[in-house]
Amino acid sequence: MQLLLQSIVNGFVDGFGYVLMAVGLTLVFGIGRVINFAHGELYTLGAFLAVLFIGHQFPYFSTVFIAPILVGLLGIVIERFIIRRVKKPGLSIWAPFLATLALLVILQSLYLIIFGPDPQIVENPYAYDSINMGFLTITGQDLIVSILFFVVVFCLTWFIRKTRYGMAMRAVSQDRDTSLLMGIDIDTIYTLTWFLGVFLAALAGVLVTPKSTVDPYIGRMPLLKGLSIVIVGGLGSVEGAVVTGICLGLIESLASIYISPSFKDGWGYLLVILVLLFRPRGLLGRTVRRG
Amino acid sequence: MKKVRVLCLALFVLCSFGTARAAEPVKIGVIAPLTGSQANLGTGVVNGIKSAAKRINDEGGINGSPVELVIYDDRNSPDEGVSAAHRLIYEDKVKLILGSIGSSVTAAVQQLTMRERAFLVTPVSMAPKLTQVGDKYFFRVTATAAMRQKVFTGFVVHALKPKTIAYLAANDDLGRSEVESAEETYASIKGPKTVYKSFYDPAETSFTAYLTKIKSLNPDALFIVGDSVHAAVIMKQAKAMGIKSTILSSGEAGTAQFLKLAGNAAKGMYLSLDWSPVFTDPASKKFLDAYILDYGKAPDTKFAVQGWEAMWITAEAVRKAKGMSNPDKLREAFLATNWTGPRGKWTFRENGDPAGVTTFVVVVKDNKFVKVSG
Repeated sequence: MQLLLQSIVNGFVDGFGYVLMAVGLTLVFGIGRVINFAHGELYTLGAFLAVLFIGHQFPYFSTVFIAPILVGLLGIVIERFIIRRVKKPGLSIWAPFLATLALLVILQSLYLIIFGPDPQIVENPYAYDSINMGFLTITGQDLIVSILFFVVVFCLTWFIRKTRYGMAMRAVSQDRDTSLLMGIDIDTIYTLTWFLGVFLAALAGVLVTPKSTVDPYIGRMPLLKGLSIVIVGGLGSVEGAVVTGICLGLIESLASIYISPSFKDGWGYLLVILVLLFRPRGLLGRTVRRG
Repeated sequence: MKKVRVLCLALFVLCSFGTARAAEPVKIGVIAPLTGSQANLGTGVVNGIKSAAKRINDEGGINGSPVELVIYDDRNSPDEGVSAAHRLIYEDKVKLILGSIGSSVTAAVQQLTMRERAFLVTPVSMAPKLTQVGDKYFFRVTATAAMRQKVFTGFVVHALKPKTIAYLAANDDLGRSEVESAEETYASIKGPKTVYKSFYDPAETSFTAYLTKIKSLNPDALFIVGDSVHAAVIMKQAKAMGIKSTILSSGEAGTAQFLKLAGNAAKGMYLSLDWSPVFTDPASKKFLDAYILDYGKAPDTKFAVQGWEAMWITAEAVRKAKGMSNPDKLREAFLATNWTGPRGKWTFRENGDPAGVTTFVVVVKDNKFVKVSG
């Protein structure tokens, strides 16, 4: 019973991290129509900035906000100066995808030059304090991840549902051309979307990595998990990403305990195959209209 | 491009060590991973070899001939290792190779050196099979997993007296052989009973699932096999989850990097260690002084010491055999080795394994390794 509860808690916390990655990816895909292969590298950048800031005596809580905002600004730069330039009529529709792939390699090499190959640690004073409730242990970091997760998801939902910009984002994701005719400034919406998506990736990096280490290659797994979740949850569906991400965390955690820990990273791909076979739109997906 | 790089490397080595050109140099090949995931280990070994070669040459070389190193990168890949060995044997006409790090690479290189009756001296590879293939010209300047476990398990059973033990090890050659030999020895000396055993993927970053299970079983001891980074992350996560077991670990975690990454979480952990920069015996001091003079700081890992010792032992054997022209004479010289290095006194068995090499048991105290036996 204790083991079951603990694995469920672990699963939720892992799932929250996955969701942050997946929501960013799915926003950028649903609205910008680009799969950002460099998403994992922006997660890594968030983590590296956290190492840097905390190394310079910044408190962890301000780092949690400042680092993702800075990375989010980089997201704006990427959208304005790279993605927008390769997303032109006449250029291949694959150009933006290739651009993000190139960005992945470039960023990884830059990290190697700037931060070096040795693994580093995000020194978070709360990471290894734990709350022991007799049968259940929750680390300080798990608590921070959980609280911030709910805050961020709440704010994001409110933003998308209730604000004018959120409405515009939904409109663009549904029909780009009509939105344009309705007078929505599509370029601003793209920029905003990239900022949000990249902000979430970096936030995941800052929140998840205090439990492990940071090196230039850590972005691969979060990207792959994020992509699987986006496919299973339905391309472009924020709700799908939230539900699937948490489910994946739970499945991985429970299966590691009760089936085999060695297959942990396999479940996501298994889900992808099953969903592609039986429900290609994704669990909560809708048909993507090409506009 | 790679050729150019290797050429530059060789050239650099030639320039730095080829100062005394009076006598025909003694050419020694070196194969180690200098790039890729094992680069920090390979660089450590090569740095140790270079420091030793420099001291040997400063002291007049081997019977008046300077040591000349020809160094190639194997990127921890058996294919690259074999092609490096090809170049060393057929192009550079080398008769003795120091290398490599990964046992699979060394085993692949051994196929070639055995056929060509060339010597292969490994400073690091621990796989038992290397000395079981009947290679007369193979020597291992390191203790195997079984040898180290014998010392460590003895200490654990007598001093810590755990009744149950859990194993968490990397799913690679080293992890599997360490756990296997530990389990075997414990079984033979009525040691702790195994309650959990799991192997993690070396690319893993979160160990929560394994540790949750281990915590629920609450074993007296937890034995971890992993490199510095994995061991540090496991220690931190275990501490955070409130695991109370005594933590034991293999020597791979015995590095400065591990102490830095693990911080307070490593307190009270026991390791079996071949060598650590905290050792202060005369041989360790001589090595450390030389290393710090050459590279400006103490080595991070024990790998530099392994390279240093392999180079000195080889030089002694070549000196005694008066050159490398007669392989059987050189083999006799290796078998007659009686040399004391930082890790203790070195002598060899007929099969090329070391006889009676020391392993130390250390405990982590105030973020330092402190010897408790050995």
